[in-house]
Amino acid sequence: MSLRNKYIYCLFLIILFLSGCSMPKIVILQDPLTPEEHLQLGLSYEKKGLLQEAIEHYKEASKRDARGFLFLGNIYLTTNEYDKAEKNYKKALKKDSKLADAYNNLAWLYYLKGEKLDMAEELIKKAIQIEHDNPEKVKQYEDTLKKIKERLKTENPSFL
Amino acid sequence: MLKKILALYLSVAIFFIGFVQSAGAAFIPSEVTLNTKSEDLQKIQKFLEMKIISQRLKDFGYSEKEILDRLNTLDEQTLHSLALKIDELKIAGDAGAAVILALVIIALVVLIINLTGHRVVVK
Repeated sequence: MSLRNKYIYCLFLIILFLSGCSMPKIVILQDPLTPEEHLQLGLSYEKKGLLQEAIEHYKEASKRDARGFLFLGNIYLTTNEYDKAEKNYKKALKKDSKLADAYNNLAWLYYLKGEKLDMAEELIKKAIQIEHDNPEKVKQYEDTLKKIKERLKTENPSFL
Repeated sequence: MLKKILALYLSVAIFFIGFVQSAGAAFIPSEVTLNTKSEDLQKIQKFLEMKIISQRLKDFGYSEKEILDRLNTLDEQTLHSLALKIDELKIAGDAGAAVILALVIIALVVLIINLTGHRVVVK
């Protein structure tokens, strides 16, 4: 049998093998959930202590919704992973510069770390400015601002 | 005397309630941002997990009736486990088949190139 005939014989065998197999199907997977739903499901998992599953859903939401990054930041803040939290709060603000809660929580993170307190004050003022017509939110942000100012006073007595 | 005790109790209670609210308000938790009550989350979770499984079955070519039949047989715990694992299982199954397919395609390409009088050398 010549080399050429051997190749044709091999090709025939491969085609015969393939025709006997069920070929893998290419399936395009749709994301079944909206960003809002990813956030809701992530939050539900987070409340049950399933942090890794929550993180997956927040990451999925963050592709189209800045709150995904905010919620990731919140998880990392509660697990004391401050660097990751800061990174995600900044990503949230980059994606949506009107996300007032992200300003508040980033400011709170700086308060907890006891660093960049001047910047924290600016951030919380920005949050108040964004939500100025929402008294309930403003009250919460003012509380953060009050704490930051107190910390600034103790660390720098000449402040104010 | 009773009035004095009551007044003292109230002033201490008001002080501590005010203190606790003040301490908790500085960090805005996710549920506040999302404006969702904790008691609603369980119902939402079940609904969304059903939605995930239903969509995946649809992606793999199941009919509406078949999807409903399968979902109806699942209890809450199975539904939850399946929703967490459904993508992992499918990806793991596809990976092996995809590797075999890729190898077969490469073999075919090499054969065809050889048949046309060229040589394939791996250096």
